[in-house]
Amino acid sequence: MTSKQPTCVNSEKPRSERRFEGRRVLKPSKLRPLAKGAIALIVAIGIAVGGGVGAYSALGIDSISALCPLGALEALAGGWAFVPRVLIALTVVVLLVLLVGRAWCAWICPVPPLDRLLSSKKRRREQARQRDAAGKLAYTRWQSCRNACAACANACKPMPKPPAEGHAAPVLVSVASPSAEAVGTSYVMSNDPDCCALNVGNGVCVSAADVTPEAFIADCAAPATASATPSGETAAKLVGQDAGIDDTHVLGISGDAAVSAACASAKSPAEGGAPVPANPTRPGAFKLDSRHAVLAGALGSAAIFGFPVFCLVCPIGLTVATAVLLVRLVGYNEPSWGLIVFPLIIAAELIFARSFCGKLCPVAALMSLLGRANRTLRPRVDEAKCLRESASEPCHACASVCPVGIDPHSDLGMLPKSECTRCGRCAEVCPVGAVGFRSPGTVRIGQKASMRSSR
Amino acid sequence: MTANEPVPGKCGAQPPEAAKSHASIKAKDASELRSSASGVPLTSRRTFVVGCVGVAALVALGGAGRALGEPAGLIRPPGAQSADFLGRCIRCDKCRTACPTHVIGVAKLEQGVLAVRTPVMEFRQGYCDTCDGAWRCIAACPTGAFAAFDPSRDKIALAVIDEAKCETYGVSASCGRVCVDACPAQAISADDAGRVHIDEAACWGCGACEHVCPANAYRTYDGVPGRGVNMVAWEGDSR
Repeated sequence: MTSKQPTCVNSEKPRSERRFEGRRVLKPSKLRPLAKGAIALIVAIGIAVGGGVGAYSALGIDSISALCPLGALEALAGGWAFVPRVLIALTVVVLLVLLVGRAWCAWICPVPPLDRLLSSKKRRREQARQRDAAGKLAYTRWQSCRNACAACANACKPMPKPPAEGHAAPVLVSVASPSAEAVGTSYVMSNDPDCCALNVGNGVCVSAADVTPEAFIADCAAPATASATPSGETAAKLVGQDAGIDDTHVLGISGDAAVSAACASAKSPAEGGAPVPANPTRPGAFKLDSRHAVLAGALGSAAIFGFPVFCLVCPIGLTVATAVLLVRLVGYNEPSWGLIVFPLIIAAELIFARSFCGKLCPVAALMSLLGRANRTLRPRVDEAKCLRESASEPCHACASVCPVGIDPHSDLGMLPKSECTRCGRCAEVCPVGAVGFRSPGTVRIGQKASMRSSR
Repeated sequence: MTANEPVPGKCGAQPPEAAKSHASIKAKDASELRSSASGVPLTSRRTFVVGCVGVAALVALGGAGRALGEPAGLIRPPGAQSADFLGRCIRCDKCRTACPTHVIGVAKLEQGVLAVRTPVMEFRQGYCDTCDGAWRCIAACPTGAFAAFDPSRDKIALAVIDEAKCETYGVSASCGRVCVDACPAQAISADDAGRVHIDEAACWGCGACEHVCPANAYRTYDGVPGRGVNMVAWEGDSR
């Protein structure tokens, strides 16, 4: 048994060196800039010469527009009236998002390329490092809970409140495990039902003598006993281990070992034991974040003040507005302060907010809310090829490259799969081509048909 | 093993009362966790703060916009005269690109936070020819911010003669009275003395007269904007 953290095969290779040997298919990393560039060109030409093509907020010809859903909602909120045209456009957009989730972000939106343009090399390196750390974390979680563990990582906060009366203080213990799967995990021993319930989500108890994650039960509280130093013989709760990156919780919190020993009659759900409830802190679960707050603020502000407030500062809208002012300046001799102020606002949003797309964009928030119902075109891993299943080559390349922080393998990343922007980076980076966006058996993005039978 | 020490394999060895109370605590916590994750936050503190700052900024922006208001006298495209317009316009630029005569321009930052990026008419660049009845701007607006426009009833603006600049009121009417021919509503006519007058009832504000008027243009420009006839915003009710 070793405690060395396995290095992943490909995630540290620089992007330029990763190749799709012998594959002659269109890679997403080439298609995406083409798509974005083509649409940007169409929008730019439309701004310059007209034709009713519209810009990003309402792409289309004349009366047909793919209306920005946020704009639509703001118009409804600001105008305080139901407009059939808006509702129809909104329905169409909702259906599209239900089909492809946040594909707008990776394939059309001009903000991510702008963001890359405006971010320094240092910041990009830092972002790559954070993504890699997130990928490692997802892998560690997968390691911990590959056997259907319900009380997985991200569950614990350092407990500030004192244990309930009669219960001993929590104790954190690292148990050397005889089983390879549990390498690197920490165990929590607790006799405090609040600790159990709140921190490890109804708990998972394993007999320390046979520390495998299979032995789970739902109920592991028992009255306080004399606290003994946790020993190998007592049962423990299984908790994952954070890599300590942004927004994650410190694990730990454990309790009095003696209680958990009661759990030793562990019967996994498969054996007829109590069903393990889903852990509400499951990392892949949907979380509200600051984007949703901005969305609420935008809609609320529009409703209160009677005009679409967010449109004033939307970086997408301001990019279009800057282009319009440029055309007016060059074509009509109309200078305007906006030519200076709008780019400044865009720069402020993209540079000072460290991640506009991930932390502030209300359009992303809308799409993430709708995307929860999306099931199509999500990244899927072919378990037969995936290197994770082979004990000798643990790999977290797909999770390490995801710009959103998703774990395409087991959905144990910072954000759930519903947030996927379909950028295709995970499919491209997978060294064995195990990640695809279609159902297994068909040819996947970036992979020749003949590769399917390899391995 | 003492009596207190739980026996491995004997979960049921707990005293019934304790088991019940623990079970009930468990059930409550479990259901709380499942339903609202109490004790387990939906989001982190930093994210919450960032969210609050974002909301506050948007509310402040909305308030500032409304407080500063929009300047009077902005001439809007046909159908955009209502007070609702600013609430529905998402500044998408579609009407401006749809206009074939390029008379629709865009309001600048100097004209106020509320009005910036919204469409305004610029009769120097063109005039409204109704797109032969197609009213493309009204059709193009994705949020329906443009109401239907009936030239016999509504007005985009009102033509007003500036007698100080209009050549027919001056020494020589070398302009050729092009405005009279340009007007599609026959709202400008010359009187016996040769001076032009506007029929305010007939004029619906297409701006053709201002567009073609040569007074104060090019060689006759005197440093002050305004031609012999100018469109001004119409504050009155529809006829």
